[in-house]
Amino acid sequence: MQQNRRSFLISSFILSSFALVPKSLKSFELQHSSFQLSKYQTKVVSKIQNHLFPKGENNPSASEIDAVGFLQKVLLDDDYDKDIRVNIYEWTGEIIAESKSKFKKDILDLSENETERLLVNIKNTWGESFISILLLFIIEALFSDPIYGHNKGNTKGGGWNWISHQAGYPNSNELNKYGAL
Amino acid sequence: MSTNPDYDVIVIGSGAGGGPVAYELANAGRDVLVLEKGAWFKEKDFAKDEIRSCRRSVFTPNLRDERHVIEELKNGEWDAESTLDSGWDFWNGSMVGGSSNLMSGFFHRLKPDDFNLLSKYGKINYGNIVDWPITYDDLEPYYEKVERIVGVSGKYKKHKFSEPRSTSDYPYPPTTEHHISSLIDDACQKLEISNFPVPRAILTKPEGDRGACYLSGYCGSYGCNSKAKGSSRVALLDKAVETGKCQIRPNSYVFNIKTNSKGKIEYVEYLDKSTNIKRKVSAKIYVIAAQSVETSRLLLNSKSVSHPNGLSNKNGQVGKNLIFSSGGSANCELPFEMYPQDIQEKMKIQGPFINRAVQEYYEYEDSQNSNNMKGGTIEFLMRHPNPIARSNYLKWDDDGLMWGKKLQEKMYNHFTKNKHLRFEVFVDWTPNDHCFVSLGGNEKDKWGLPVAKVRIGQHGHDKSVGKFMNQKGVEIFEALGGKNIQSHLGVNPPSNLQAGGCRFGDDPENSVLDKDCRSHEIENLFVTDGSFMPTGGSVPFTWTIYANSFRVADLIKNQL
Repeated sequence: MQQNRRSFLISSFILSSFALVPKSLKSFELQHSSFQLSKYQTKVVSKIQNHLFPKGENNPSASEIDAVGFLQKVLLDDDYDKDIRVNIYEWTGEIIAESKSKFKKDILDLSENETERLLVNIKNTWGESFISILLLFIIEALFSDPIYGHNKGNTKGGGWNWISHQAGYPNSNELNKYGAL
Repeated sequence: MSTNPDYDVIVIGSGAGGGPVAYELANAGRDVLVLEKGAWFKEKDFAKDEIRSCRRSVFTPNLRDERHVIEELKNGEWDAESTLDSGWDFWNGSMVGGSSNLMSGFFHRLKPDDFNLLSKYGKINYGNIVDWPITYDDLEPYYEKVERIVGVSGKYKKHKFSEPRSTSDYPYPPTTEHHISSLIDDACQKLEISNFPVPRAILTKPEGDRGACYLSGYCGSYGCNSKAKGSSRVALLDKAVETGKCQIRPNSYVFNIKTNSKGKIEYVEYLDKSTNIKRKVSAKIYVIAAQSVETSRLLLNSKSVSHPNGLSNKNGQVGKNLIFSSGGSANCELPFEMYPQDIQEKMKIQGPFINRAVQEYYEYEDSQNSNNMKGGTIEFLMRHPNPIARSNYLKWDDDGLMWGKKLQEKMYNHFTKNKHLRFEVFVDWTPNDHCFVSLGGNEKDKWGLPVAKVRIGQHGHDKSVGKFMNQKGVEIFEALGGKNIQSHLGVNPPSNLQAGGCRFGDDPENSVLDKDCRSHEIENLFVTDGSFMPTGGSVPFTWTIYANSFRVADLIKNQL
């Protein structure tokens, strides 16, 4: 009954046919022995995430739930689909390059309006899968069991509280939670 | 191997097909060994954690290590793709107790006519429908046994197509129901169609070490923390182990079945995944119950000089006539603002069950056909509360991907202003020549064994029946005031509802098993998962798999 993952991956796969796919997984692996985001990449991803999921009247922002920290844990999870993790790296590089090409600016210096235009542009060209995956991991962080430390905001469980979600019982504990998170 | 077998019976796989055999034989004083590929999780290992239970491969194999190849029809050609590439996960619960740990527990019996579909409704062109070699009456005592031993709760209500029963009602009272159940009752009354309370494999009062349901609202895809859900593990295997006659070996991956010169199975070979050591073990009788796709795969992979096409496959029938459940589904919104304040509060409650189904159209008249048509079941349920899965779906609209305030507003309204109701339709999947299991050629698992390749051709007849049934479900949604109704026909097979592949029958030319679910070719081999089913009925299969496994257990008991 893992249809959520399936439907995500299937839609991602279909959309990926229009996207820039890593040219060679092997050559990529030679360049990236670790899946650790650099400090600069972390700032870039964090900026995009916060644009995709900003602070609202009652909802926490991507920054408040440390969505980039959650994504970093996914990238380091060897049990998670490697192609997706590789793609996130590749696409991060692509969007950095796209900013320089379109706006002649470092992506971190783009205004909110420029960031929106950049995202709309990549959505309509090569980047819909990239944005989709970033949104997925923001949503996973926001509504994950609070034990993972990302479902927060003003209070613990801030994501659930925002949508009046009634959690099941029992929640995870340190002994039975998902290890890589 | 020694001439004295190590056990009386070895059961390969521990879900709904394997559990009853282990339970019955151990209670009869026979030495039973259960070999299960997955781990042995207990209640302490389960939590209502969407990430761990639904979004990562914890209770199913990692596709990197173990996968399938799925063949779909694309542009008139069969296109094969590994699930590692597509992400289409065909695993359903690899652990002691199998996927019965993760089921929702909607329990329906087949109807008497489901056992003779060919005789009753006639041949469907390009379909391979056959009658069953047994009747409903043969299985009825075992359906009843499942009610008592696995535990089925409900309230019997006679309707147009209700099946005969040997007892007046279920042994456990129904689960607590949600206010929406009464709305469905009212809508059906308005439309002048009958509905009925759905029996559930969920205990509503404690029984031994099993507690009653505590109404968490998280059944499907999650392990149960009170043992109320009637999984093979808690209802049968735990009890079998208590007899001292049943041993369960988790993490034991059976990869080969070895026969002797007399054509009987001599031993099975398995990999102890915890030590990476290959072992052999023998028994008088072997029972395979690894779920349809993997059962066929094991037989096909067990090739030898005397069985070059795999075991029990002289006539090339292993893997053939695989079936799923056809149908479709629909969701609708019930905006809280439609109801007075006191009802709004009732609508917001989470936990109680809906437990309503409609079988008014299990058979129906069709103007295009002289014969009556076989229809199916419309099952109503609350949309699963999983907020990650639902939100990830919400990010899409007709214009593609959305984000920012627009997405946030959509999410907020979705979760806080509506109750979400769903129905799922179950209709027969017509067995046909384009739905079968074979071996995946060059695609191997982590240990170098060919994976199962599954061709998933669906008969056009089933799609038209599914469309009819979906429309009837939508009419009920409309009658109860449902808004934003979104209906989907079943394009892909539900991987958790698989049966067939080793169907039983009297003719060895077109079946793998005899009516006792014993191999036509191998005297000491039985198959007791859903593989035996030539047709699946228009309901979920689990109750029938449990019942048939109890039936076969009695036959094995008499033989030993």
